[in-house]
Amino acid sequence: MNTHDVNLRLNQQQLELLDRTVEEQGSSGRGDLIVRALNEYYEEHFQTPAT
Amino acid sequence: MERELVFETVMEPGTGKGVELRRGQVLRIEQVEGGQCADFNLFNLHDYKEHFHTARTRHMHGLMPSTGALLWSAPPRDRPIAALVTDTLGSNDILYGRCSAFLYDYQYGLPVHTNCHDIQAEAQREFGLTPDDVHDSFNFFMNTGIDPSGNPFIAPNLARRGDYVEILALIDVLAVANVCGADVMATSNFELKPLRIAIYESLPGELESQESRPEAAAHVTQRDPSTFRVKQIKADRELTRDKSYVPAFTNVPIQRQELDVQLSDAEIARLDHLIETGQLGSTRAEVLRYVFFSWWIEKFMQGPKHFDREAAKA
Ligand SMILES: [Zn+2]
Repeated sequence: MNTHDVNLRLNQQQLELLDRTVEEQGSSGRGDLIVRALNEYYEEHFQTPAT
Repeated sequence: MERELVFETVMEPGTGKGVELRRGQVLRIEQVEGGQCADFNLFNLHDYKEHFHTARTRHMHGLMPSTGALLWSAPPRDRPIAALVTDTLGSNDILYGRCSAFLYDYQYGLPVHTNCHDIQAEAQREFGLTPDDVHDSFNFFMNTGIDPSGNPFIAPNLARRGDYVEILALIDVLAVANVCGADVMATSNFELKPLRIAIYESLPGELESQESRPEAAAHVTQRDPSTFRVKQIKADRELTRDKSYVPAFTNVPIQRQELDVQLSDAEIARLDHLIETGQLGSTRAEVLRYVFFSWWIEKFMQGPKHFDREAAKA
């Protein structure tokens, strides 16, 4: 499986929220939580219903 | 169970009235004939610099607050100072500013005309306030909307005789209501009519039920003058630079860091699809950041989310 790096720019306040959520959600890390967000957001807003 | 009446009066057209409300007392503003807008100002009775803020209230309760809405004070106080506990009609506005002498002069060529700003100022003068202290009003019984092109409009006033709103004070306040002076605007159906105002004691438990709401919980970010770097109210009109001033902004410098996020083929395909929608940004990094915080807001944020969920659908 190929992986792709996306280089995010975040400031210390955004990282504060990210790190707190990583902890509260028991995620394995920042990247893990961001990937979860991408998948859940996509599935909620853009997934075409299965036919 | 009826509320115990403490005070009542009728505000005649062209007038307004300031009343002291103790924490736990209720102010009723009632239609006498119907179809009359009431403009409303609200101050902390013990510190007039804290007052009702339409913008914070819009943020928390939308453009047309009704029963259950709280009346918020301006930042940095930022707390509920009253609650709209009864609203028999449900047609209020906090978008429009109060009418003023200028508007009737500029728009109608009527430089001497009843107007909410001057009526408020005259009523507030009883408590030592100046015309500069009148603030953006809560416009009870004012029927407004936003047209599809985004412009606000004033629609016919729907209030009938006997309709009323009740405002429960969560702190000691000066409440100032006035009969809107607009008789050549649609606000009150082109006629000025009296309004009854009355103060009641709240029923047992009413205050407690408001104070136990999640929005009423105290936060350290709700600041009072004890935390201000300048504690004295400026008493002269001229602005002069403080030569000893040293800026003390919060969390400055803002430092941007880079964070590499690894995505699989399937995830990058999803991200690229989101880019194609053209709504969330033009690069993978922009869109991923937009998605992360949008997801966070939808999932975890407390209070109104301020997202147009329809627009977010591709
Ligand atoms: Zn007016």
